[in-house]
Amino acid sequence: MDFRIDVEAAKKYLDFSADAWEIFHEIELKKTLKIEKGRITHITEDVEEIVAFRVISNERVGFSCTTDGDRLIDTCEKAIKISKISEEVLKEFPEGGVTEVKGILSKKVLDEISGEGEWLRGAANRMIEIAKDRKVNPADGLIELSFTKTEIVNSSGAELESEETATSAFIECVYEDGAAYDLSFSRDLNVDIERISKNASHFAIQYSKGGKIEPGTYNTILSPLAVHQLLFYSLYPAFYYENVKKGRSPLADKLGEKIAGSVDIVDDGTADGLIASSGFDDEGNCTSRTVLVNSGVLSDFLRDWRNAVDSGKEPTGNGIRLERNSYPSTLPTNMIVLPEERENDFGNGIYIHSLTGAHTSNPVSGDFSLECSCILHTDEGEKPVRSAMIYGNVYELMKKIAYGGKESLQIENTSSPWLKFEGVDVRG
Amino acid sequence: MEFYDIREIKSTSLSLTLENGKLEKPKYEKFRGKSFRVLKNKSWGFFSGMVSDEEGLERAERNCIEEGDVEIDRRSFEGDYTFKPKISTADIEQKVNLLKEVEKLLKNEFVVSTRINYIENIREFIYRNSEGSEIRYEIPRTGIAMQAVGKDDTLQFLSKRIFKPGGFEIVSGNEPFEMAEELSNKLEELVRAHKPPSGKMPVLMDPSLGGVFIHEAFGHAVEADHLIRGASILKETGIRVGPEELNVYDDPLKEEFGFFPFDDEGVKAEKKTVIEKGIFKEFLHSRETAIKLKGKPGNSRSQGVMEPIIRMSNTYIDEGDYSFDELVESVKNGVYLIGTRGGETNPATGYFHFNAQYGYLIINGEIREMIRDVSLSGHTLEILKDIKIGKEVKFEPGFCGKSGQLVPVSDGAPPTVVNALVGGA
Repeated sequence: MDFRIDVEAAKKYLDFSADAWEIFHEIELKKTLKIEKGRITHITEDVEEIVAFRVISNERVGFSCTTDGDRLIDTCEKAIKISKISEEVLKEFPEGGVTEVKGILSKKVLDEISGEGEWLRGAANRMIEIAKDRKVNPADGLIELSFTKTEIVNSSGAELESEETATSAFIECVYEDGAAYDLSFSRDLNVDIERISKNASHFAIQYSKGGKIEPGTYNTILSPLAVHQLLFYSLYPAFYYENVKKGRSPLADKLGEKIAGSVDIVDDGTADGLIASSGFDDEGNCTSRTVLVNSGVLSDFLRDWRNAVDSGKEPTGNGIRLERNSYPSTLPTNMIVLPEERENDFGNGIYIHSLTGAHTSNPVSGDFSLECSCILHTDEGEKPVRSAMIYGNVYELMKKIAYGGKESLQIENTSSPWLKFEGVDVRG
Repeated sequence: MEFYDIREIKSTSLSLTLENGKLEKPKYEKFRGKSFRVLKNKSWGFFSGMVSDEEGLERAERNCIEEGDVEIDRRSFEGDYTFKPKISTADIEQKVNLLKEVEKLLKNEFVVSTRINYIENIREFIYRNSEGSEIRYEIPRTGIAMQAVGKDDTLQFLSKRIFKPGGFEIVSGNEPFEMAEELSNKLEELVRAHKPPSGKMPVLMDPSLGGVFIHEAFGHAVEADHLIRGASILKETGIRVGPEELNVYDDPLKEEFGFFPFDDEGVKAEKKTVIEKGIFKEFLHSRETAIKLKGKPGNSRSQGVMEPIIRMSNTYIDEGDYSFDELVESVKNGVYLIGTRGGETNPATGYFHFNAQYGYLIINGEIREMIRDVSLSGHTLEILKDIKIGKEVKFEPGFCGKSGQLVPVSDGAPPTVVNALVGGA
């Protein structure tokens, strides 16, 4: 699929009007099949194209963006106007570069997006069938395919282009008054329909039978989904150099110190086939593999272009636009969690499949107290728990990592196996 | 095709962020988008993209892939409405200066970082459908969000915001300054605050927390799409969910952040009675669920040109008779919780969870030491049973997320008391 908006006139305009400039140009085609109460209901299709400008005038940065191809020059003018009041200082944009990353574009996904939806319907019917076989209501679900084409050009000579595909699947199952959901992500069509439908069905049934749990301290196993939910909100922001610089990170003065148990945490934008991998970040810098925590010791922070300039270090390829229309800022790519591996048997403890309200964790202190449904594993067997609250501080929790499973799953931008933590406070 | 509608959204927005006193990441945005929805063989098809009406409808029709059972409420409206701000023009320098003046009040010796964000947005909505509806409206929204991080015994943050439909007048009065001063003072206490108690106990909620409470604990379960999917703990109207004095409404016509004159299916907005005298009265509906469940449409909303889904607007608990002192007295031993960091609910199970920004212990009917990082959880069908309701409703603006879409809402309540599971780190 080609761009529909021509940015050549904007480049010429900016060459004359700004000291330095950057154009971020992206088009996305998305096809989504939706499921309600065990039936395929419909398909939605969205095409969105955006052009975003960053300009530097007298070392001050301005930003503007538009989806309207007829208003490009107006939008450039707005970026220049806004730069005059800006106090964000930059002298130039990066020359940019590309890291070779494999497995981020799938012809099968492209064909399916432009086709009649045969694979989509087959996968959705399989997802529904698995749940119905278990006498569970697949109440809500979707399978989404997307193709994204990105172009970054700037006055420092960067001329970069990439094409990527992605597939995601989601299902929520309801059984009596129990409910559970699961998700799967891929760059190809191999989202794990079987796993998520079986998991959502299993946990919905279990939770419907759930009882109470005695308040106390338990060994706790977080599923890959729960690992992502907890760490994304309460831990990852502490790794951004911008938060370190601005006094918002509890890790600011901890470089070289032991901050976790036996675990590595790596931000890797170059990992083949992962969902947040790319040849370059949203500012045109090469993506990289940055070891943030090495055997529990804090070893680095993440930097976008401006924070790399400020810190006098190389950018780590983490200048990311949270949404297509967002100003680029420091955000993680794939966060790969590598604990000490054990066999896929986590022993006794409570197993938490998902957390509720993870976004309410305190990103500054790392404190959390979160609602969950869980399953208590003891020598006597499994006992589902309808409602429990785990609480603590994420930095204390990270020191309690004992070990993890062998098989990693990618949930959003986190790739992790299940993790076992020792001595977590739980309330019924 | 049995029905179609076409929406066009045009919006402009300005965002100014002051980080530690410096204006960073200033942003201007002009958005234009179109979306097309077709009903064929009783099944929806949807397309969004900047194409001609003919192409858009054709692509939407291609996405009607199954034989369905969709019937819709076909009521039709015409209307042209512009929300006129009191101050429509203010220089960008004036806006930056306002942020800088407010920031001065945020600082104190414990504050290590500040962030203030000014946002203005004008949304023009144009709608027409195969039933003859022709609608256009324009709404400006303006506001400031502020956050400060403090450090002493612990690293803590507090935030406050004002967002409403309107122009620069929303932020040009004393309110931002009063908020900044209060936030700075409270943060000084918060960095030395105690950990909260835990367990089931009486909780006095301030209006901003009470608003999020009714939104999370009950509001989402009232969205009829959950019921249609078999994923709502609320199965029917007419059941008692709270005491006689409990009244809850969803009112898109109130001039708060969730204001809209027509929903995104072109239905004229109206106030909905969610709970009256403790009885659950009505679900919130789209054109589709309204027909299925014999309700009234008017609560379909979307982010940009995404597919409209059922959403709340300005949702609030109406005022009761208790004075604030009577509420404190009624708690006797428990907690008084203030402000919110948001929440989440699962309408299928009825379990909800949300966090306060800070709170105080109540011991023997007296408000005592400050506590931090407090969360609340409970169950939709249990939580309202013993609610005690105070006077003077206040609204808190926010963005509500559902199915990957964010829309502006506000939640309101007077001070209230409930029994809930309290927890903290």
